[in-house]
Amino acid sequence: MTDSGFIGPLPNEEQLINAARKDYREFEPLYDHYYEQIYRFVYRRTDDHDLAADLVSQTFMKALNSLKGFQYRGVPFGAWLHRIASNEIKKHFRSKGTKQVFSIEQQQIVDLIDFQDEESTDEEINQLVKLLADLEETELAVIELRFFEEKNFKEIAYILDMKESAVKMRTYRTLEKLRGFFKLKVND
Amino acid sequence: MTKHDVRIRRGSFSKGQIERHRDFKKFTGLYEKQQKKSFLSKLWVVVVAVVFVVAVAIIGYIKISEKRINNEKPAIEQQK
Repeated sequence: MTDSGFIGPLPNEEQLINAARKDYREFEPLYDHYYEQIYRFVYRRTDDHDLAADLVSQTFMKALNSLKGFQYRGVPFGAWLHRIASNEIKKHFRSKGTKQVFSIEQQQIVDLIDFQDEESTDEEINQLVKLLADLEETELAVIELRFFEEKNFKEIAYILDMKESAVKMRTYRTLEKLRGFFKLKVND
Repeated sequence: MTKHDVRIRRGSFSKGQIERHRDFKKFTGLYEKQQKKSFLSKLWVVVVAVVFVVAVAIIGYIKISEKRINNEKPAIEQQK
């Protein structure tokens, strides 16, 4: 697992899903495998441990309830969980009527941006915060999923319910926006 | 007015904070409770639907019976 909490799919994932469809107690390996990844994702979007735990629990509950409807089409189970979690987060903030939170570790920023001068780092981070805060919801989501969750374009397209080509275009445009202000360490 | 509330965290959170919440037993307990609740609410809907159908059938039967009696009365009176 990397610092972002990224983990790949389980080797026998499809079999585990089929087993869990028949008996919910068989859901445990999937729950254990993806819990940390989904928790980190939700925590980044809430900045609150108790709220994150509640939303993660709701995510797994929804997943288990609709497991019969899940079809394995080349996208790992984790992407499906991300999609459910993403919807739960949106629903929560919509019901609260507040702005969506995006909390990010300073180290993740350092991994993304090539700061030229250590003394100006704080100033540049503040500038980045303002820039991220003004991005469209989808722009922020593609950056997050691509560089912090380490998802591929196919998975991002599935999570955001978009076409893969549209995700690539959106990622490219968002990175161009960031490149207008910073030198990035990442490629498209 | 910004679109998101972007926050910077200086340090990363520990794995222990995640482990504190990861509990499959508790999760399955909640799931069983939810399934029970869902079964009971479905049962309630079925009971209400059955009661409604039976009530409509009874009311319909009474109305038809009343109509038949009312139709028979003038015929008896005419015979007289």
